[in-house]
Amino acid sequence: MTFIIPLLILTPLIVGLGIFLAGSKGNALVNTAIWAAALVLALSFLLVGHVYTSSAANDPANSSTIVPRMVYAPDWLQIHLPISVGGHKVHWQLQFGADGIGALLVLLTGIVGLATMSLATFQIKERLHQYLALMLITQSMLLGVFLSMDLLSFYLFFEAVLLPLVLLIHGWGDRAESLIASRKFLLFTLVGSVPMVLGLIGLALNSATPDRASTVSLQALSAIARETQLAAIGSAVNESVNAVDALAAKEQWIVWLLLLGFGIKLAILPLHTWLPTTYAVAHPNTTALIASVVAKLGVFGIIRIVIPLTPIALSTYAQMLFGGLGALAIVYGALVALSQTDLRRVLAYSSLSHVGFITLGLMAMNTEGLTGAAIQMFNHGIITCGMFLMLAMLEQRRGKISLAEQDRGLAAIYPRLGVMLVFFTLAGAGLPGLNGFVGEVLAMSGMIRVSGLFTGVAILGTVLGAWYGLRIVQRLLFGSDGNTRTKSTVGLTSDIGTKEFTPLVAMAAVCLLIGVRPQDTIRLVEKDVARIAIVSEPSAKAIHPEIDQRVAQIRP
Amino acid sequence: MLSLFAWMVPLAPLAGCIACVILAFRGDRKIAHLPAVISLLFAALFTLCLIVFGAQGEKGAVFAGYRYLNVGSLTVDVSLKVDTLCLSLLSVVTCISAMIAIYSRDYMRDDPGFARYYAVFCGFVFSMTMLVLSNNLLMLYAFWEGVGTCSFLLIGFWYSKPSAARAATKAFLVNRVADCAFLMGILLLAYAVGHVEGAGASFFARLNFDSIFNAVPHLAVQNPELLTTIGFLLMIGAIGKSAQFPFHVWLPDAMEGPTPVSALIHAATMVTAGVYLIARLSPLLESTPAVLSVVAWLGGITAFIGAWMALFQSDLKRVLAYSTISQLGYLFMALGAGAIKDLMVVAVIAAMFHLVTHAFFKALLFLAAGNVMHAMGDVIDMRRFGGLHKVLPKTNILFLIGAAALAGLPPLAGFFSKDGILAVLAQASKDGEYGIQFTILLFLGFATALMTAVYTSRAYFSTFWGAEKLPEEAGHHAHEATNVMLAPMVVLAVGALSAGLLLGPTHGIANYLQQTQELSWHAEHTEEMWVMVASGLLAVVGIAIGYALSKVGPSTATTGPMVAFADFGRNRLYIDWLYSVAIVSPMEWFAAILGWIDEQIDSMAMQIASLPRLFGLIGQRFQNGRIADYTYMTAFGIAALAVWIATR
Repeated sequence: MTFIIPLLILTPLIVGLGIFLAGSKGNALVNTAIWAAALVLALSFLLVGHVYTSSAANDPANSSTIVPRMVYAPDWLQIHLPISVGGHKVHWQLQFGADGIGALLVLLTGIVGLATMSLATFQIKERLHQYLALMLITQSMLLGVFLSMDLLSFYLFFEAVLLPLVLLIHGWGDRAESLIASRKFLLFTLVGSVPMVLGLIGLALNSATPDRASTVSLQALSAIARETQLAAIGSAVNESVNAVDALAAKEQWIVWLLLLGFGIKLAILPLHTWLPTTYAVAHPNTTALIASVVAKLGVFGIIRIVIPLTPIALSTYAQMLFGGLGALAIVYGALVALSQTDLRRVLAYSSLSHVGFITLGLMAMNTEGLTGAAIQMFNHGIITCGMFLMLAMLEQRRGKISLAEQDRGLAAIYPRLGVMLVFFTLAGAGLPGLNGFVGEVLAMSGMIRVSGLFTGVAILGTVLGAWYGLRIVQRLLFGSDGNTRTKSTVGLTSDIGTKEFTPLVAMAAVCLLIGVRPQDTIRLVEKDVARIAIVSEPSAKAIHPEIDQRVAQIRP
Repeated sequence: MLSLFAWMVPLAPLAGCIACVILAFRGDRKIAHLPAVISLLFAALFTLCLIVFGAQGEKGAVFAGYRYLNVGSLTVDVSLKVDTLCLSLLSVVTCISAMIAIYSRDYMRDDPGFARYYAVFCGFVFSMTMLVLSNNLLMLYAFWEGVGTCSFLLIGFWYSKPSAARAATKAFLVNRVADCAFLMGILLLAYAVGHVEGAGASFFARLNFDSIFNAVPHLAVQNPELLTTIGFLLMIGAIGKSAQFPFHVWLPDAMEGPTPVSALIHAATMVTAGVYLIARLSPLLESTPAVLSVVAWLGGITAFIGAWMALFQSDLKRVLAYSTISQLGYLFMALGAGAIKDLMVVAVIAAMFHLVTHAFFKALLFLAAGNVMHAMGDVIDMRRFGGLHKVLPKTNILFLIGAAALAGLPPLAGFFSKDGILAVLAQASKDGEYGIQFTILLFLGFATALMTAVYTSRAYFSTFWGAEKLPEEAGHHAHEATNVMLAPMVVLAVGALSAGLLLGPTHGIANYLQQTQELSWHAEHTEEMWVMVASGLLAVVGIAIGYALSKVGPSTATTGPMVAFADFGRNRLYIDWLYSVAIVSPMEWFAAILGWIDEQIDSMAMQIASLPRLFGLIGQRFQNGRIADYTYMTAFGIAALAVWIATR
């Protein structure tokens, strides 16, 4: 089954490049691009199915905290460098694989990719084939990040995502500002990537000891991190010198560098300002992909690299800071969203607010929080994708949507769009029974064991979230019968057709399914989270560590 | 078999809801009432089965569903808990919702959103029954939000009316504020129950009611402050949904929805969810008398100000809305009496009794008001019509029954249940610690009883008696409601007439509720004859005053304390105004300031980004292409190099 992995990464890449090479003949290849996206979705379902049924993570002898259920590591992906680290020559094996968390995000990429690309055929009027080609290449790079199982390929794909994205933002965004926005996007992310690459190099170098060669494999690195931590905790009990603090101090600079890099990507306050500008300028269809998947790269990096590989340093220095910033982002994002009138910017800040919940869950560093964060990555992706896709449809019909105008009453003209907008707004506001609630409640019930204050702040954010959400609904959809307003000259005046409606309904069904039966999705990630929690939970700050001990006692 | 019955109660309305959604999308609008009414009748039937077959000794049964969450040390199941406490509310919910669904067929006949109406209606009943049947707090919270959402959708049913859209948003947000405290309470409780020693085997399913009640005695000893905090937070949730002061502002505005919806959601069922929550959590709140004392105060204040505001409304539906707020305040006052040791069970029984009777007569009154509204061409201002007893003879009688029950005229339902609450308060006022508080509250209770009789009879007499007056919107077709509308009202009227006598003096409801495990220990209930006589007299006096007021019409005086009293009542005590000035506007300002700050952060970041360019500009000055400058610089460099080498 390992053929799925190269197929997943290469299919969209080859099709995308192929359309570019075809030049003006690429126009005819629009359907091919859609089919490629559909193939990616089918493959990601296969991948999820395989991860679901695999028992590879059950092996108690395996001491890694990252265990891919399938590994693709061919010989041609070996790197031999003529330098030596810690007395050993560098032989690095690049590898790809899928664990539960990665598979969930692959699925998200598949769903969002197909939805955005199939709807792009209604939205994008010029150079459609190039647009689709770039979307496919982006998708391929994203899949590469989620499937990579070593530091080097992780980094390469992580950076490579930028290139097609900048072209997408610049090429199909608002004419006037797209240059500034794409430049800002590029600048911010490049500023983030330099510290990140230094941190990653530090991780690889740290792994080398006199009797062990350096490695970039996440599986090996996580096993080493676990051993180091165990040794430190063990010696901390026996000796007077605190080995745990020493270990934390040694890894401190790596954690800060990595967090700076990932923090910019996840738009942590106050390094977030690239996000609203980018979202407001890019075509909403592009933004749907950026907000739902690309914005997850930062948090994915934290759950994939920072938490498993440097848990003690993270909890010693940055857990409370980042947890607090996450909680703050929830309230801050929601409040700023309330103050905006451009719907694009409202949604941008709302996205910032929701990502705060993911950060909050991650920084709880316990099982509930990490599960919540992993689920919320997927859930927020689906919800925000739906919102931006609907924004694209609305703009196509009404031009730029400003909330300064009250009582538009669009629900009467576009009943289908209205129903879906209310649905996704409620899902975003964390209504129980829909998927947003599950992640939020898990993240908060993880965080409440770390800090009651942060949880309280986050809960306040749910009120504000409902406030700006209903503000959108009330001002856009309600308040008049819609016909008294002059219709836009931009284009369509009719409600969305079946082909536009179907992707939205499908995504709404996913929202409902996860909201009603979340355990099925949680089962996909629970083994991976449980393994990460082995190292993260004992090192995490907790108000009452007794609970963790009692869990360990009661549960075999 | 019982498990099937229990699951069918919520699932039947869900099936109805799905059928109506499909109809709504297909556009076959005029048959949507069929799946709705049939499914709701089935729900009522299955509730009846549960009552009949479940009464054989079992104190409470749990019917498993599926595992909702199983993460770390937390497990949450979707499962149903059936006991007499939940059955008593469940029978009210299913019975009244079925009646109102029948009523709505003709009321909503001409509306283009007919199927949408029934879809949300059934969705509401599904959520409400699940809420009542929940076995754990998280599930209860989930459906708590569910009923809130259905309420939002139904208040905003006529969404093209700006006032309706605003009312819906307001209701949702006010509830959401209370709910966020509720959720915080739930999270803290899950945390605290995990923290407490002695919770034992139920450690993982810590949000199940049984686990909570097992852990409460330990928690009360180990960490009483935390328990009080939790109780307080949970209470905020309850008073939000039940529209108690200071969260009552959403309910009067909710009257923008269709009248049957007001009858079902905003009078009979959803707003009583808070009462149910406190009754359900009574073993927990019993350990936190401070919280219950606050509940009693808030209830008393709400009962009084609700009646006060009801006195001065000219909109018939709003009179009923404020009356609902006031009556719910009564329920909370009664529950608050649980602050006194050993009085919790009596308090819960009194509250549940009034909840049941109130549901019947208030739903009846709302439906009667709906008839008036239908006949008057959607005019509901009492100043614009009058003397309708000839136009609407049957509605007149039905409204009279409901009004008499609400006013507390013996021997109607309201009299017995209100008397029960006053008796509990009288009993509580003899307590040492909280005695003074409950003496004041008892006085407030009597004052409210009088005011209730006054506004009820004023509303009745000025609507149905006096000179006949019709608004022009009514046209020439002012007519009595159809039989389909009247039949369910008759059922409710029978309930309003007889429920008090059947359940009260016979101790029927008390004996039934005591089969619930948490309420099972013997409750000492003392009858207070003087309370009964006093409340009966107050009702008669109040009705007389109300009749006189309806004759006099609006007062023409411009000064004096009564005018200020009236002015405050008419303007909702300026509470809505205060909220918009003191909370909403400052928040919007704060948001705007944050938006401005955000722009500053952005421009700062961009200035930092322009630093490299600045360095470039400095360097550019030297790359000027003049040979002379280059020579000087080269010479300078060589000299510096030479000095450096020489000094080594």
